[in-house]
Parts: sequence; structure tokens; C-alpha cells
Amino acid sequence: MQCKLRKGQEEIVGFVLIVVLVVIVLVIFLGIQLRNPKPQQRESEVIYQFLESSMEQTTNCTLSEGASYLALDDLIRECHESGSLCISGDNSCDSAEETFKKLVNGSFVVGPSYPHKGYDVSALYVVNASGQSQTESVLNLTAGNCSGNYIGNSYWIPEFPGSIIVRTKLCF
Amino acid sequence: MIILQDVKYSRGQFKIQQMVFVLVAILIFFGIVAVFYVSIKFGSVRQDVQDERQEAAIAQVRKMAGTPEFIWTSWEDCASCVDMDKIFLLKNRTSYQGFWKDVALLKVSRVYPKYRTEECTTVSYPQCNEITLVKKEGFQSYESFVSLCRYDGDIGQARCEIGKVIVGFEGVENAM
Repeated sequence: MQCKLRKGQEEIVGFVLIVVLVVIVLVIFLGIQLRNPKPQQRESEVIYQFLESSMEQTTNCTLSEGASYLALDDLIRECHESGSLCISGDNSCDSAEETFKKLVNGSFVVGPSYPHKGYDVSALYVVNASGQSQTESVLNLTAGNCSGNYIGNSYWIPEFPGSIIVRTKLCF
Repeated sequence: MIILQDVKYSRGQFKIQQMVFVLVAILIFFGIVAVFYVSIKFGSVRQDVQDERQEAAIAQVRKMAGTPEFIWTSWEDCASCVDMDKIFLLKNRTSYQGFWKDVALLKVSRVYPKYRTEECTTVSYPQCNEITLVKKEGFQSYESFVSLCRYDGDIGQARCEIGKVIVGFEGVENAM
């Protein structure tokens, strides 16, 4: 009789051990899956429309007397090509950066107490030379905290032989 | 002998019962785990669907900006440009009253630079922020970034500034 009771108890202990082992493995697996998830990114039509419209913005920069005032995309090209001065005395890169900053701040309100916590705008010149891709930074604007999820998009400005890619990320 | 056989038969059944209980318990346990996992993993699907619908509505608003009443024709390669002078002229044109039938709100708003005067009039134009073509009650509005272009006599060339086309549709307040 005692032998029967011990056998039953052994089986119960064995079953409980198996369940505990499985639970531990599952908890570790779930913990790895859910801890520090990669920031989620999503392509946004709104951001693309913003970039497309921003590039047409007429700036206050003209390179010579009587010449046209440059649109923002032309000003960014000018910044990359030669960094020449506007007749107002401002550097083309500074003028492009200032204009872009005003456009972003006017379009999206960012801050710790707002839905958008920050933004990250960059313009990179990319060219494929001898089978290798070379990049050169043209512009960089950041504000707030951009470490979490974000929506973004990019806009291409042709600049022979490569392109200038303007990327904007709006962070949550 | 018969008693011994009965005992063996009962023990066998007992073993089978034990195995069935174990299998059912394991199935229930894994079922609960799977429910938790799926609910955590797919919790954001509803939000994703709403975001996709919103983006589709915004794309529709952008198409409105491409209609002949809005489009800037001076440059061929500017899909996002609208003619602000043309829109301002449409504002008080009686022949365009009721033109946009299913639209409860249609306006164009400047994003940067902002001026002190909100609604444009013949006195304040172009130093103003909004041109409202249609405004009724009860709508869900969607907006799309565009480039507001006009001829600027001060600089002797076309000037474009970032703005928005805002469209409100009747009877879709709870669409989202």
C-alpha cells in the first residue's frame, strides 16, 4: 500500500517538474521577444507630401543681383556643390538649414508633452562610384527625442552623377 | 485468476485516464499561452488599419489638389503646386457655388510663413493665411501638404510657400 502511495506521489512530482520546466522556458522566450523591441518604423504619405511641398518653398536666397530666388531643393543642391553665398551674406547651407527648420517647426509640433516627441531630418549625397556607394552629409537637423517608433519618408533630388536623398523621421 | 484479470484491466484503464488528463492539461496550458502571445503580438493591428485608412483619405485629398481648379500650370514638373491666385478668385465666384457637392469643408491654409490675418479678403490678400471655398456643418476633415504658388510682383517671379489643402466630407464623422 505504501509502495502504491509513493508511486503516485512520484508521478505527480514528475508531472509538476515537467510543467515548471516548460513554464520557465516559455517565460524566458517571451521575455526575450518582448524586451527591447526594435523601434517600429512606418513609411508615411504625409511625410512624403511634406517633403515634396517643402522642396518648392521659395527661399530668401539669391546668388546674384537680378537672379531668381532659389527654391529649397535648388538651395540644397547649391549647398552641396559649392556652398556659395547668397547676396544677403548668408551661406547657402545655413540658409537651407534655417528655412528647412522653420518649415518643419511650422508643420509639426514636437515636444515631450506632444504626440510627436522629436524629428530627424537629414540630406545625404549618394553616388555609386566604381561599384561602391559613397555618401556625403549635406544637411542635418534634429530636435527632441528620436529613439522610439517613428514615421518617415525620403525625397530624391537629382544631382549628377548621384542624388541627394532628403530623409525625414517624425518620432513618437 | 478471474480476480487477477479484473485488477489488470482496471490498472490499464487507470493509466489511460492518467494520460488523457495529462494531455488535456497540457493542451489547455499551451492554449492559454498562445492566447496571451497572439493578443500581445497583434494588439496593434486595429491601429495599423486606422492609420492606413487615414493615409488613403489623405491621398484622396491630394488628388483634389490636382484638379484644374487648383493646379499650378506655370511649371510642368510640380505635382504638389496649387495656384493660390486662381483659388482666391474662385472664392467669390457665384458660378462655383455648389460645385463641390459632397464636400462640407474645402479650404487652403498657409503653413509657413504665417500672417496676422486669418481669412483672405481682397484687402488682405496675399498677406493672409486661409482661403475658404466651402464651409458647412458636420464633417470629418483630412488635410494634405501642398505648395501654394502665386506670382509675387515684389520679387518679379513666382513664389511658392508650404500650405495645406483641407477637405471635409459630410456624414463621415465616425468613419475612423
